[in-house]
Amino acid sequence: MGLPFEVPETGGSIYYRNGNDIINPRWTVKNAQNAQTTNRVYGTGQLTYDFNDNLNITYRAGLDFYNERNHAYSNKGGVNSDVDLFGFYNTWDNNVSIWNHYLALNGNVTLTHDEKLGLNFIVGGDTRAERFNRQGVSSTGQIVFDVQKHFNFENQTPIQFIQNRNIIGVFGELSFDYDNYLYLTLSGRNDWVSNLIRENNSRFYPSASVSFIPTTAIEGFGGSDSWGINYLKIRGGVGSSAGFPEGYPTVNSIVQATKQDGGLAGGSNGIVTNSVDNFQANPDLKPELIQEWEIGFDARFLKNMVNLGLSYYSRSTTDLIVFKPLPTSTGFTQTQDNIGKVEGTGWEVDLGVDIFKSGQADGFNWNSRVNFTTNEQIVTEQEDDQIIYTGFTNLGNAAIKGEQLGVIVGTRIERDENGNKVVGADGIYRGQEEIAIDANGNEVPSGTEGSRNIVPIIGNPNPDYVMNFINTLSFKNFTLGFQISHVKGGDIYSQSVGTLLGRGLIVEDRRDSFIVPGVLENGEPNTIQIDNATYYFDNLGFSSNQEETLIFDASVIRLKEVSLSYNLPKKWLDKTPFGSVSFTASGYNLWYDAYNMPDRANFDPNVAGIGVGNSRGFDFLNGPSSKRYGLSVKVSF
Amino acid sequence: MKRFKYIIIAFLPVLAFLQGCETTELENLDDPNNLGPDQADPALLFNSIQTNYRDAVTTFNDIGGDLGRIEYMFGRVYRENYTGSALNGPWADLYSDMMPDITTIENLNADGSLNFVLGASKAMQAHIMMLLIDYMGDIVWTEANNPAEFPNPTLDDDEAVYQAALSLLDEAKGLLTQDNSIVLDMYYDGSAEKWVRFINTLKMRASLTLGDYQAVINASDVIEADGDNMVFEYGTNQLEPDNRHPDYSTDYTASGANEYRSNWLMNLMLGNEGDVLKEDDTIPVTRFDDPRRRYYFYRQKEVTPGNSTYLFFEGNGQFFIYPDDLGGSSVDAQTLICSTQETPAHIQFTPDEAYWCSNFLGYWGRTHGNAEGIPPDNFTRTASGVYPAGGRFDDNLDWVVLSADQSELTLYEAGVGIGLGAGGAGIEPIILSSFIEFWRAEAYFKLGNNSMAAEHMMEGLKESINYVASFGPRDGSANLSFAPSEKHIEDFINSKMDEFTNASNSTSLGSDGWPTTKDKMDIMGEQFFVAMYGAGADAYNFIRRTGYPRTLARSIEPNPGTFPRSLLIPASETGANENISQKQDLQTQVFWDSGVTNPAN
Repeated sequence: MGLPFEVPETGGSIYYRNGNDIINPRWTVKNAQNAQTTNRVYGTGQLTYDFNDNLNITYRAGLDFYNERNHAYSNKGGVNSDVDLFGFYNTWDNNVSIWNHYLALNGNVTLTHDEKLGLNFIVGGDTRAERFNRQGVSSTGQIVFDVQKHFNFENQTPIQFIQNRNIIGVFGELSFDYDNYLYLTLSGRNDWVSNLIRENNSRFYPSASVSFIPTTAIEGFGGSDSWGINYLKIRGGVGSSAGFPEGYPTVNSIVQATKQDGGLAGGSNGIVTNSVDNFQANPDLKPELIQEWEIGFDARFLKNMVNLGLSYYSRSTTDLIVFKPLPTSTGFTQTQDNIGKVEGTGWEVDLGVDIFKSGQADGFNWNSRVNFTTNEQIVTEQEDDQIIYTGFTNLGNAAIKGEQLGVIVGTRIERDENGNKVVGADGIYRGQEEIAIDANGNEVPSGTEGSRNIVPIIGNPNPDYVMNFINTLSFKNFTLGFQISHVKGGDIYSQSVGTLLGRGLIVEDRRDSFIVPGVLENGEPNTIQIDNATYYFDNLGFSSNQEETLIFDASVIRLKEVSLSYNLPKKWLDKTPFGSVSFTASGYNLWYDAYNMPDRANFDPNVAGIGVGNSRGFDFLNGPSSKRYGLSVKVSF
Repeated sequence: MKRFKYIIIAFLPVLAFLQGCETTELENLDDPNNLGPDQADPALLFNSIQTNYRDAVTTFNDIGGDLGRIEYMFGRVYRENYTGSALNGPWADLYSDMMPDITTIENLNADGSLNFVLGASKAMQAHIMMLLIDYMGDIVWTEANNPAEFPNPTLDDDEAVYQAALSLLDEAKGLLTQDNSIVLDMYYDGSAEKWVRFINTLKMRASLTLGDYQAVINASDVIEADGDNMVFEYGTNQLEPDNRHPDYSTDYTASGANEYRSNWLMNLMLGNEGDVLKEDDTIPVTRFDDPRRRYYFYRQKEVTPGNSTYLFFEGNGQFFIYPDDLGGSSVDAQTLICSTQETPAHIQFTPDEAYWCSNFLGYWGRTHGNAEGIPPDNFTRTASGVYPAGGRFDDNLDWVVLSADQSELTLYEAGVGIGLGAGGAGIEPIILSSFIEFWRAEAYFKLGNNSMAAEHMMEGLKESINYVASFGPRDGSANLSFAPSEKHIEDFINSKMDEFTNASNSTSLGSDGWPTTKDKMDIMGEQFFVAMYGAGADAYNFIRRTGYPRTLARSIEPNPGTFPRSLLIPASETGANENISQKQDLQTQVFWDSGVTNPAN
């Protein structure tokens, strides 16, 4: 680290390699940057007119407008790719505005004479207009070192992207309540979206829910003094909602590109090309429908010291909208389509206990809460054998009938008929790109009648369950909070760990030699000895023919948050204009242990490496996660 | 104040109303980020078709060159090197890039004004179709590009699609009746006559593949002159766009060269003395060196570890061996680890031993199948030269110079760098006039006419050497006095033709799998491969069609697996297409492949 990283004459990167073909990370820290400044304005204005005590009409307009000003640059003098060598500077603004207009008629009515049965109703409509407008400039070819302005670059190309969508809805809701212990709500809504054709652009989705509070209904049951059940509410509901596509999936288009490589004939300005877009229009695209029913209860016991909430739900999504890859020989490579049906169930449990509860205002209190969630969504209906909806053609998340949505598919180690791993003549495993499965998901020989051909399933990024343990202790004016989370299960494909292993950085003993377990092509057990470097580099860390070797279990226990806050005593604030003042020091992500991953990797499965999208369970060489410390002051007037 | 309140109250609904009209708009379907389907410009579509054709042919040249040992193939086991993603590029170039654009042009051609563009595009399409069949076997055809009716197209029989491609060529020929000077034609500059010659050449190529030797000999109006050569010319621009030859962009960087040249090819072209032969009459000639070697390869270092070069001593004007005669050793474990290793057992006592690790006179490359990591040799390994990559002409001496007082040793001052040599202004050769001559030579040989075969082989050598030599001036800073003289070229061609004439029609293999002596097809095959440097697509066909040359480098891996007879179906297709499942291995034979094996594989 003490060696120089910059060439004195040019400011370029210099590193240990003889041919200087790897960029020095310290040079990158000094000479490259991605930054964003966001300005945001949002607010609503509301007008209400009361016809009488029971009926009013409301109009609300909301605007959320933000501008993200982005810039990304690297000075010239990096290594390898053209943009590194010659420098680049990209600036672009994302202007996003979301307009909401809401108009509704609210009313309440008492339906019976004894005033036990009441009705609230809402009827109205709203619109949502989303406008996304990106504009910017991309410059390459830096002239003077370390000046990041567009006039200092030789070539400019535009950055421009526009996406607009309107959603219009009308809705109605009826809420009945009987004597404060029985409630029934019925609602229905219909949405229309602007980027689908008229025949397919609307979706109606109703819902209903019921809740019953026995402790209020039945005399003598419940109440704050008893050691038994203090409060109980039983609830159930059926709901549905719709999802809409983004972009413009119903039309074909022509892609035009400038400054393309036209060789000598095209000259230094390049050529302009037109080409039919590889995205196939799908005018039959419909909105997706999510339906769910749920039952559960909330209860308080033991003089309100214990809180228990439990829900069980079953969710089914039909016409799920995904980006579906198409066979290239059709002339298109992708389309947006509704795929079959995804169904699943889940549990949510929340238990809170006041371990210590002091009667005095500034006594010692300790409240502890555990919540537990688990969910499994399985693809139950689908025409295609497999849809790899995100990732690459041979590594990504896929929808396969009979499997959980989002299983990771990729190349795997070849297996023979008995399930043994096959070793090649060079002593390392052989890879396999495609397998066949039958209707029940069992592997069958390729070409079997009625089998489905898929890229092998190598992992499942969905966790078995997620648990959070949240504690709050308070004494006098101090409050200490800490939160521990446990994610169990869920696989991750980690290139970070693969690189650490493949380069021998976290291997315990680099002198070991290996005979990988498996059989040779002729069926005999493997006896070829390979050295440490071959095992970790060729076989495990950097073998794209068997991505399966980079799948790890991502279970992790994490100390998510620790915070200590101090409220100024009220009597100090008597003569001041402040109502309350509190200081909080907090730390986030202070400790974690991914206990099933290789020990010395210290890998955090929580790295957000894939950006916004439907991907799950992939890490392509991300930086480490961070601990965050903060101090905040909260003042009320 | 009240009025103020009412004004605001009145203002808000007006604002909402004005904004509201836009927010309630439905059926807003058109994509503002692209052009609409009826806004396509046929000239710009033609640009896209030409660049996609170039990309597809480049991939076939690279794969064919690797399998034919003309280029360096990385990776020990054939099955692991050529997975389902190997042909993803050309498959997509044909079906999802070229064919939809050609259909769009066809739909705009009601008045026949686009006949030239359509004819040229269909010729390029047919060539890619035939190359895909050659490399893969069955491909999609009748059900292609019709997603409404065939969302999961099935494969057609390869022989039938080959015939369809030939009919497409006839259709294209019929459309190419008039020149077109308006559109940008990056291959033949708008000349319909040259496109027709190219089409006839493709048909001649198909005849050769199918074994119709008489048709090959009878073919007329084909590529004969340099001006008819089917090549893509690159430029020297570095950014926006980078229009340099791809091998140049990889090799001529600020961090040194990044590709390896093929040791087998360098050894074949080296002769046994290099230019020393011209200086020292006492050295007996066993092999003349190929006059094209200074154009194909650019050496950066005077000696390869584990090998040697000549040393010219100014004191007495004689040649010695460097570094051995000075008492040194060129072995260097850091830059070329194999220089410290023993020859692998299966290579010992075979001709491979001469070049499995290093070559004479500083030619530093790798042999077939080497899969080692990269040592710090970016500025010492041999880089691509001025042909066809537009790099530097190799004007290094074939020896180092020791001053008379033995104090000063002059080594190479050579190295790659951005913008050096021809700056990337090279070509991607697709079909050259010299290839035609070798096709004719093969056809005559198969028909039993050895003298005509020799005549055309000689013509092929001449045309190839002259074409390659024309690239010398592209490197403005080179010392072209090192270019081969007329006499050298004549001596080389004569020596090769003598070798050919004196060889028998067929010889047997020794116990090590190598031919006891080279026969006529070995020699013709070797020279054909040398001429195909940079355009190796047809080398893979040649090996499978003839089983020659048997003197190709064996793999450094004793068990590389069976040599592929065809490659896998692109994974991008099998992953999304229910009706096509992947092949089990690389042994499916294309319809024209009789299965003849080459002992080199």
